[in-house]
Formats: sequence, C-alpha cells, structure tokens
Amino acid sequence: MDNIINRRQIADGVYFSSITDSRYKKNYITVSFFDELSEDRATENSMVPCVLANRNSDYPTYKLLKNKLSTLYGASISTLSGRKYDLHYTGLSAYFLDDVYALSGEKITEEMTDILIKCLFSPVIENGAFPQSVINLERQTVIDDIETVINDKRSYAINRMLTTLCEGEPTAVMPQGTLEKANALTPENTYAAYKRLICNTHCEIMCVGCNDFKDVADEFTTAFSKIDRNNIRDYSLKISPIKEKTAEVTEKLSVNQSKMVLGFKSHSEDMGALVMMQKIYGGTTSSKLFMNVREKMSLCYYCSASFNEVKGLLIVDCGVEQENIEKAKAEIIRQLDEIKNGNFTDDDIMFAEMSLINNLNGIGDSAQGVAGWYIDHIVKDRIETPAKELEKYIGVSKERIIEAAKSCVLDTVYVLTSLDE
Amino acid sequence: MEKITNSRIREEYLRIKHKSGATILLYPMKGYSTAYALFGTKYGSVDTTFKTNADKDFVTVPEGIAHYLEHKLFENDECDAFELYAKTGANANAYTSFDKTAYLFSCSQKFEENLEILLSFVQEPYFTDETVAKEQGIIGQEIRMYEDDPGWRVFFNCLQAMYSKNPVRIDIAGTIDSIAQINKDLLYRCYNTFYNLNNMVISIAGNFDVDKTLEICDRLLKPSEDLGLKVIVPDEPLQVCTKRTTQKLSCAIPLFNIGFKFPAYEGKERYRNFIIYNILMEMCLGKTSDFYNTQYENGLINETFNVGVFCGRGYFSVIADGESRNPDKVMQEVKDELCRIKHDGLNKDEFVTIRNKTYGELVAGFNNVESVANNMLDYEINGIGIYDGIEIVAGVTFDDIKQALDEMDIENSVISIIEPAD
Repeated sequence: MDNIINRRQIADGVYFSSITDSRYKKNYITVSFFDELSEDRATENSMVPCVLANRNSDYPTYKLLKNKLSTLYGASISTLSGRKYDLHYTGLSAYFLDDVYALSGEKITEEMTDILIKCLFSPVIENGAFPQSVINLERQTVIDDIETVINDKRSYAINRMLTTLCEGEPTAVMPQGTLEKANALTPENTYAAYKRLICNTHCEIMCVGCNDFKDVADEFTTAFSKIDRNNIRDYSLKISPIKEKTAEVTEKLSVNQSKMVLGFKSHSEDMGALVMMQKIYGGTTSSKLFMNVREKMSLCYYCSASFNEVKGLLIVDCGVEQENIEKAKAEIIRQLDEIKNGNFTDDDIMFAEMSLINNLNGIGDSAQGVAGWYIDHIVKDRIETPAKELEKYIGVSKERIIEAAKSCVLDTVYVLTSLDE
Repeated sequence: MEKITNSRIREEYLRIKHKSGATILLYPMKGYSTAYALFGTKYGSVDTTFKTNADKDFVTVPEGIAHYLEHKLFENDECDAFELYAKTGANANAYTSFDKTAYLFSCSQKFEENLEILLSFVQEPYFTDETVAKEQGIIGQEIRMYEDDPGWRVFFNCLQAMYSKNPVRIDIAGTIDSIAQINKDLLYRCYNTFYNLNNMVISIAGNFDVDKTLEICDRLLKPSEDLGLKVIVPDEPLQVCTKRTTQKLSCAIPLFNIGFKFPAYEGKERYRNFIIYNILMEMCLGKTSDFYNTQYENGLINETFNVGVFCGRGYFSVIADGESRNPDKVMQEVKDELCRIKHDGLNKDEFVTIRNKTYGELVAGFNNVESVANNMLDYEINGIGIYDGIEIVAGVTFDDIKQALDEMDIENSVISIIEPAD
C-alpha cells in the first residue's frame, strides 16, 4: 500500500483524511467521535449513532431515508460504535458506488455527502430534543445489542474476561452499555450526549475510494464551522497494570462446549519482539498453539493468541470440552514456556515474518482495510504505512523474542462452562 | 481458452478447459497487491449417495464426510500443508458447504510457490487409521462449537423442518456419532470419486501472472479420466416436513427462521429465480418495505431481520430470519403481508429501485479480490459465468417479479424458533 494519507485539521479537534485509489469502485467515508470508555456515558454514546443513522431533516423517517439510499444503487449509512483500547468510538459511515459506475449519470458522491452531513448535523428534532417516538424505537435497538452479546459465546467469553483482566480501567467497560442505563434513555439525555459528542470530543473523518474527496472536505469544513466546538476532551491510552496474583473466574451458562480465555500482560516496550512472539506462539496456522493444542493433542478446534499493543495484553482463547480444560490450560502455558526457554527455530521466526509481510502488504486491497489501519494508527498517535510498520518486525532476533515471552505474566484465567457438573 | 468480457464494468477474465479435465478461471486485477486462489470440487455435504462407471452399486456414506475429507487433505505422509504455507506467509484455509469443497490461499508474495503447494496437496491424499482418528477430536469440537451457536441451530432446524429427504437437512460437519463411522477407506472412496479433475475448478483473482500460472497448471495437474460420476438427489416432496420446530439454547431474545419451500431449479434457471425472488422479497419484506418499517416501529422485529433466497442442487427456498420476542406473530404478519401484496399488486417504482440496488451490489463485488475468486468458483459450479448475474439483473422485468409472486405458495412454509434456555 503506497498511498500516503492526506490528513489535516478542519476544525478544533476535527481532522479530515483522504486516500484516493483508482482500484476501488466504491467510496467509504467514516466519521468517528472518540470518548473515553465509561459506564456513565457508554450507553448514551451508543444510542446516538442509532438515532442519527436512520433519518435526517430531509428524510425524516427510516423508510424515506432507506428509499433514497436504494435509489443510489444500494448506498448505505451505518452506525459505528465500539471499543478501541480505552476509547469508545461512535459515529456514522457511508459506503456508496462511485459516480463513474452510475447507470444514468447520478451524482452519488455529492448526494451521499449531503445525506451523511445532514444525518450528523441536521437530525430530526422536536421541542429541542430527539422525538420520543424515535427514542422508543432506537432504545430497543440498544437493549437488543446489549442482550444479544451472549449469542456469540466466543466473543462473549473474551468480553467477560476483559472485565476482570482490565478491572478499573476504561477497557473493561462494555461499549454497548448497560440495560439499566438503556432503560433510562430519554430524548433529553440522548440529545445531551449527541451535543457532547459533536461539540466536545475528538473527531476523525476518513475517506477512502476512487474519488478525490475535495468537495467532501469542503462540505465537512463548512458543516463543522457551524458547530460550537469547545472544551475538546483529551484522551490518553495507558498500559494495563499487572495483578500481583493471577485472577481466576469461572462462569456457568447453558452451553455444550466450554470456553477458556487466558489473559497475559507485558510491560515490555519492545513491540516488534512482542508481535513476533505472539505470531510464533498463536498467531498463525503454524504457531505453537495451533500445532500442539489443536493438531497434536486434538483438544480444540480453535486455540489462538492475539496481542493488544496499546494495553500490553496477550490474549489466548479456545473452545474445549469441560473435562479437558485443565489439560488445555497446562499446554497453553507450557507452549509459552517453550518460547521463554528458546525452544523455537529460525524457521519459526521466518514463518512469523512471512505471515506479517503477507498480511500487511494486503491491507491496501480493501477500502475498509485502509480506513481501519489509519484510524487505528491515528488513535495510537503513530501514523505510518504498513510497509513502514513492517520494518519493526523484520530482523527481530531470537533473544529479543525470548525476552518478550519472558515479559508476559499470566494475569487472568476465565472459564465459561456448562451448568451441570 | 475463452476470454470473457463485460462491457458494463469494462472487465474481462479467462476460462480454460484444461487438458487435465479441470476448469481454470483466471481474473487478473491490475493494481492489487494480493492474489486469492481456490481449488474447488463440486462435492459438498449433500452428496451422500453416489457412484461412478467404475462402481457396481451406489454407496451411501456417513454424514459429514465431505467436511472430514477437507480436514484430512491438509496432511500428507511428510507434513501438513499449513507447514508448507508457513514458509511463504500465505493465509491458507478450506471450507465445505452444501454443494462444494474449496481449498484456498491469499497472498501478497510468492504466488507461484503458493499455487504449487495448493495444486500439489489437494492431489495427494494421505490417510491412515491414526491420522483419521486424530481428527475426530478436532472436528468433534467444531461440531460442539456450532451446537452452542443459536444462529446456526435455528437455520438447520428450519432446513430439517422444510426438507424430509434432501441431505441439505444435515449439518455440514455431521454429528459426533456420524463422524465416528468415518474411516480411511471411505475417505479414499469419496476422494477418488469427487476429486477427479473433471469435477474440479481452479479460480484465481488479483495480482498474478497468467502465463506462469498456466505453466504451473500444465506441470502439476494430473490428467484424469472422466469416470461418469452420478450423484443421487433424493426425490423431495414439494410439501414441507414439519410446520413448526423449537429448541432451547442460551440466548437473550428468541431467534427465528421462517422458510418457504419451492420446487428446485437447476443451472441458469436457478440463478435467474435466485435473483427474481431476492428482488421480490426485498420489495415485500426488505428494509424499505412497508412491512419492515411497520413491524420495526411496532417493535416486533429489530435490525437483524433479513430475507433472502437459499438454494442449491435439489433445493430452493426463501428464508426470513431475525430476532423477535414473538416469532409466531412475525410469521403471521409475514404471511398476511405477502397475501395482501398478492391481492393489491406490486409497485413498479419500487421494483426499479430495488433492481438498481441489486445491480450496485453486484458491481461492488468486483471491488474485492476475494469475492471475485469466490464468486467465479461458485458460479462455475452452478453452471454459469460470473458476469451472468449482472446481465440477469439487467434483464429482469416487472412482469417476472409479478409472476414469481403469483406462483409462490405462501402456506408451504415453516417456522424454526430458538428460545432462551431457562
């Protein structure tokens, strides 16, 4: 990916970035507001994009807006809401076919920019707040989002583990919010959250597509010039402190297969070595966890490790039969010890490098991949191309990888298992 | 070698009927860094009873064997294909669906090396009693994982309610009991039947060199004799099997699948009906429909509500799925709405809008290396070309949609519900 990001400030705490690439047939625009994750604000912040995405002053009902989007070749406006390290990002995205492919010369980009800006800055308002009918409708969406977290047991287990692993930190907060707060959502408190987001939080607008986005930048500059931006909340990202004693949590639920998540923490600053270590340990299909816990011992269908470099978290998760939990846990820990003891080969290092080269070189092939890459790096305050980042990983020595593994401490073990025992 | 072009999106690709028997589809995409390659066979979980000219009788194999074979093919007597790919850094995987099995990789470097790995291991089966037994633990855990997935279970329960004979009613991975019956001899028999190159397709899109690719195919594809494969698709009654099915699982809000059963279509006719019924359902029940908006505002359905066609060899159905605290009411409202539209008529402006949207989505699919390669394989296995979809959409008329609604038997339907466990 050779495209250089063009990023500039267009208002107080508002940045506009664009990447033009003729390969894409569609354009992708995201507008994200960043707030520190907090139980106080998460539910209301999550509610805001739900209220904004489905209507605006020109198309005041869901049906009118969706009809309009359908006429623009199935263009979409979607909500954005989720956890990014200690932050909660919320906002809207637009995804639409470029004008070049329109059958009848429609100006799709111009129309979609206008719709997106109106959704953000000209929502449907009644008596100085959002209409009660809209709140009633979208509150249910927020409640459903909170309740259905349980449907995907793998991500549910990881989220539950995070509440213990990062206890007391913003990362531990579920970005969906809580049922109690969702039931208390009103036109007024949602509108206040909306005003807080657009006036007082850091905002990133990211455009990726074949368009040059010059007119889009002008439209957003004009739109933000009408907003009273003040007291922009600053944020900082902090590494997660390590517990003195490993926490163990077991939760029981009506499930067939148990889930186990092990959370390790590292305070090493050698990111290149930590990422290489994670790859060798559980980041590929030739990794130690895959080859041993799955292939040799047949204990799991999936068993892999991921690394969160901002928080210093190495997270291993697997699905396993209840009677094999201890066996799997012992092997997962033993495989990390193998790396600590230097029991891996130069080939393992090369395989990890090859995997990173392959993945990072491919990021530029999708507009969403590019947008996600740069948003992540902007948040980390380290804007660089995938090629530049790759330099950190190539040539990391075996000794550095061993030290990275040694810096990992088991902080939390979470097990989700069946009710009957 | 056939060059296939499309003037609407100004692109082209190559279709080659290779001397080995395999069909090769090559779609170079300028400016992309990655290449995505699939080696697929027209063999999925529904192909349970079959024979070739070399066999005297038809054989019926245990459920889940196509998927089991997919897992086992990654190993040969020396190493695992994953170990070979590790040296190139490619992302490799495989999947088994109802009607096909595909082995794939994506890479941004060493394409030719990766292609050699792919073509080699898929053509070199190696099964022993030990390696077959070892896989039971891994696949067993895969099955157990899906047992806890309410979205997966509600779908298969719906298929079982609709179909009484067609093996589409069986879970792709089989069951813990059925996979226990699988042995190396059965795996070899399935392999030798379905992994004949006359039954296989190589589909590649993205950043790769056509000449070098063909040179590798010439060198590595082992010529196969066409053995006259016959697969039995059981005679499926037109009527659904069970009207209502429920199961309890750990979830927050009940999940539902509402299935409408149709007669099966084959080849291009199936794809044409796939497009027609998708447009029809989008008009009647999609996000811009009166039904969706009314029931969303009533709180009966939420944003997860979705409707689409599910079809393949020997089966064709429309399935509406979602979450609701009152799924039976959703079923009644859906049926009432379809009856009302049948009586009152469809709106022509809405048809044009939805058709354009469908067209936009199909064009956008050509944005992405992975979807181009996957779609080429999928279309080929179903007997059509990747551009046919765009042309079919462009050619669909309002009368086609009206006729489809007239022919739909609204009462030939089922509901599958997953209720929260106590």
